Amino acid sequence: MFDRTKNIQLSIIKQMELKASHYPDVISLAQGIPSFDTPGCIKRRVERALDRGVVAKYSLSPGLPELRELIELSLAEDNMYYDWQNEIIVTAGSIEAITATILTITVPGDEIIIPEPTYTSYREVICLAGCKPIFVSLDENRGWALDINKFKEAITDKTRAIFYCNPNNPTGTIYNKKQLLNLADLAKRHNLYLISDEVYKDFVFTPTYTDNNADSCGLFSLAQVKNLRKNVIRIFSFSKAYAMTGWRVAYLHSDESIVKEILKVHDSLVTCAPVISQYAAMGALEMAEKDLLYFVGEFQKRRDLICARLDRMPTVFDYIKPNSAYYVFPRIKLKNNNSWQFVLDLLDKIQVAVVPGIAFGPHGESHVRLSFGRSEKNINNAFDRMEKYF
Amino acid sequence: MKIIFKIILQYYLKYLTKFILFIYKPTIIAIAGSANKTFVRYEITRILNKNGIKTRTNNKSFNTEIGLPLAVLNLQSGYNSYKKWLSVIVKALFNIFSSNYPRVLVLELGISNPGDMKYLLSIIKPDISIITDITQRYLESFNDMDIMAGEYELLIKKTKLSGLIILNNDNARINKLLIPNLKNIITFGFKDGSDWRITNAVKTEYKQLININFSDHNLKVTKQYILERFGQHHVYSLTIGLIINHYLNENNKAQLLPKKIH
Repeated sequence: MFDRTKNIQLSIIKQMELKASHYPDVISLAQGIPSFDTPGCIKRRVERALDRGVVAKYSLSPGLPELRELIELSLAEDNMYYDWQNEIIVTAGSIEAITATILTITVPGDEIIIPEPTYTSYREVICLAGCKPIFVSLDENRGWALDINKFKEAITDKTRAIFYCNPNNPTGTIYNKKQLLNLADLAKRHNLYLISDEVYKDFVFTPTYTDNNADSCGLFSLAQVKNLRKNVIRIFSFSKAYAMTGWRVAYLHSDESIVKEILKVHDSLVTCAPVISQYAAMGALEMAEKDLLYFVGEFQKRRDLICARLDRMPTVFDYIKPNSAYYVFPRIKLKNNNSWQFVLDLLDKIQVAVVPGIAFGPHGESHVRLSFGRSEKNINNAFDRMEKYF
Repeated sequence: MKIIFKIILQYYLKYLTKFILFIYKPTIIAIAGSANKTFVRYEITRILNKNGIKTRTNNKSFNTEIGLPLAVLNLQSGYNSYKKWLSVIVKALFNIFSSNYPRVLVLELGISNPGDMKYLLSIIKPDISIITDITQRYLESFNDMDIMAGEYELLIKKTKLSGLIILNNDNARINKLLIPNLKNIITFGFKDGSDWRITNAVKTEYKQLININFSDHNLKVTKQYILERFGQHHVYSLTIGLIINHYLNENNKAQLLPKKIH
């Protein structure tokens, strides 16, 4: 019974949220949800679609043509050239894009390499597909960088893909161009897919890549490299960038030869992404540019605030300053640095919910993830309690 | 209140737009159809600017009763903010006195309800009209395809007699449109009989290779083009851009395009 699900866990982030819900006075820095509401312009776009009576029916399986056109235009602004008719699928959140992709490109028994610490649900999706996640640790001493030699060692005959999140959750750090091109070179040589989850790509606070003198503005994506079109499957979600986590809408893009196969799985999983949410996504791409800039500015302020508060607790935490996303991943400097025990103590003693580092892979142990997606007031209150407690 | 404001704004922008078009008399290229309008708009603008013809299009798909005037007046939308709209209203007046008005405007015409085209054509009179595609997209407000097709027939009818109409020959519904005599029409597509016939479009790993047959001074010519974009819509966009460039050259663009008044 339940052979398929017996090795799958409810994500530790969700477990923490469930535990936290039993404490009425809890302050949560656990879940990666922006504190903002969906921008008004997006809501109005949806209201208009509702009034016109166009949201009640299925869309085409890959998504509304007008949305995919907008996505193609938006990708082109970032030097990624994909055909909206054959190379873009709108999905029910990024997790559906990930699931459909992994089910498409693997057979049970395959291995997928994941640099870790990274987003918790990757492991579960890989296991659900009957595959094996192979964890490769990031180099904390180099700002959570990719260590290519470790990837080389992890590749076997069964390896099918390398699956990474950039900017990375939970570390809030970015893989630079040189690291990514090295990874791509490895993938090309071994004929591997590269699954690039870029849901936080809009939240980049400071210029990066200074360490390798590569291009110095914006986030680099392997989907920009033409000769990697048949290797890279890139995923983006509207959830974080436009405060739309509840709408469940995202998209993936890759070469036509891959996308036409993923489309079959997508169709069998969800038929199409929720049409009302697809209209919301159109509103986001058409009108929410200023809202996005506002969010980035706010998150940068909160990043600075949370770092300042961490600086006031040098005996408890040590951290690498995040330059993207809305997470910081400090190391616990206490003698007892078991991350599960640490977060349970925080929850029980001072009702502050954070996520244990172990949730993000073996090398996340002795760290915790703090989200600064929440309001400044929440951040300050949580740290006031922690300062008092420690 | 909101509805009254919208009506006042709509007519204010409409008459200001007609006034600015009367003063500057730019050549107007109108793009209509269910899909691909934005890509065609960008391609035409790119080609004309490259050839030294000062051309403007709007960054966003402003193509409705409010959006079209904004595109002509080169203004941003105020969206749902009265304050922003007040700023738009003031800027619109200043833009009349622009010293740098373009010689060509490339405009999208969006229709989602019967009568939309009639309203848009009460603001502009196109010199060149392009119909990219007619599909069931946006059909929900029309009772049937014939009513929707009627909107495009009106565009053809209202395009200047001395101008040009460019039609997608691969689209079955476009081929059924009623076209009045005396109109200058050029068709494009993969199908036999297209004036500009795409004979080959091959996708490689990095690009698309395209062969196009057309007549140049009564000589049949085949040219190969390389596109670094993917998808048939880019092949169409390229072809339309080439048609317009060729047409303007053939017809002595200096004569066709009105001179700047400044």
